[in-house]
Amino acid sequence: MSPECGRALGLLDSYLCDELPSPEGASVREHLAGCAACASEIQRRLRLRAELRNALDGGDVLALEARILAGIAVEGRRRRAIVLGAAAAAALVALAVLVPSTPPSSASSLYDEARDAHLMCAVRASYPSPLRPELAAEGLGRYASLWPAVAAELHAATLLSAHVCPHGSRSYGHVVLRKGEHLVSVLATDGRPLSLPRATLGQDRDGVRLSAATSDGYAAFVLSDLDSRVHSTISEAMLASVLRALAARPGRP
Amino acid sequence: MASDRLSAFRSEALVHLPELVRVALRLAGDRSDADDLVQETFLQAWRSFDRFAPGTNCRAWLFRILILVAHGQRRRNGRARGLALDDLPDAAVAVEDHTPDYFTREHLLVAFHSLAEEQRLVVQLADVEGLRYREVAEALGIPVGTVMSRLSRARSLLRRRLAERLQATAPAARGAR
Repeated sequence: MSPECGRALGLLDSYLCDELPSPEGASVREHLAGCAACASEIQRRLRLRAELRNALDGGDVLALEARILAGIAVEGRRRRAIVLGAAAAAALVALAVLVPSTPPSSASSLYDEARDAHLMCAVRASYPSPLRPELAAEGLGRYASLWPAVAAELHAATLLSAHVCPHGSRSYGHVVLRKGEHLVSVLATDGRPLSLPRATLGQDRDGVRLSAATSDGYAAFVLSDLDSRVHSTISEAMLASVLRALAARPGRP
Repeated sequence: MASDRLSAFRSEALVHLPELVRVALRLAGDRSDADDLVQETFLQAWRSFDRFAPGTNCRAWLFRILILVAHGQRRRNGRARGLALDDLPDAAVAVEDHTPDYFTREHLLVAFHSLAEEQRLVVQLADVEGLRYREVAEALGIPVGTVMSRLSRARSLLRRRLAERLQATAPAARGAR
């Protein structure tokens, strides 16, 4: 190996990082143009970096982003001065992002529609309108800030799909996540036009309600700002139906 | 306004989430602990985001927080030692200038993980995440000269360990042909 090659090889990594002062960079460039061995070495080092990048890939970060946004929202709530505004904004934005809706005619028809929408997504795996993952992550993060149970489910979960399911007279925001061998399903409904004055949303975290049900390998949540009686009726009936259907479904994940 | 602050935080800080996760994985060892580490990092960053000057180097600042959080967690958990943020003593190892022609991802990972943690960290920050040397120095809280000497040794050692790994597995590879 010539002294020129020795010198160039000692500078190659900094050259690749564009960290050499211009005279040194120019001399390395000049050497590489006339030395096949060093030109070949720089290609091998480039490949090593590329392989290392691939090997150290961190995987999907959407669920973690949701957790972080949730944590930030919780931080905000601890500052009482902005508690009411933050909670109201979180609920309103999340619902607006996930669920454009039209008023349902009654609690029972709302239940039928919600159950069918959830079944269509969760059981039949039919996802009509994809939702941009960043919007879903934002929506989930904001919900998770309101509901620790959802935040716990998001821990180490991977987003499988996010979509809007139009069904009947309404649309439903539906997010499916995988957590280990389990699926987590979050269905958001928005009842603002149905019965509640908007002010109710901002009063405290109870402005948004959560119901959860689990079977082996599956957890389903319903989040809504419906009043508690309507919410309970819908959730209990809908979740029971979904879980029964899932239990009977052959080859479920 | 709070929403402006969050919006700025997302565009300046949260965009670096994948890079933070990759480095945290090496520091924490598994995904769950890495996620916790990164979440705590971003929460701390959020708390002091008002003091962060827009247009300055957010990425290096986040890595600095990540490393300090990891360091603090290890000390609290009673690990034998925290991250050594100062320089390592010179290892009596000859410089390896040549990169092997052929290697697999497994060869590379074994070689990479055979390096000391401080060496893996500088290589990952500079060569995988693409931080400038001064950014690495800022993240680790060490002088740029120390970054350069540590990087030089670490890259050289990585090439050497890769070559050794290839030699160690060569008979098996030949037998498989």
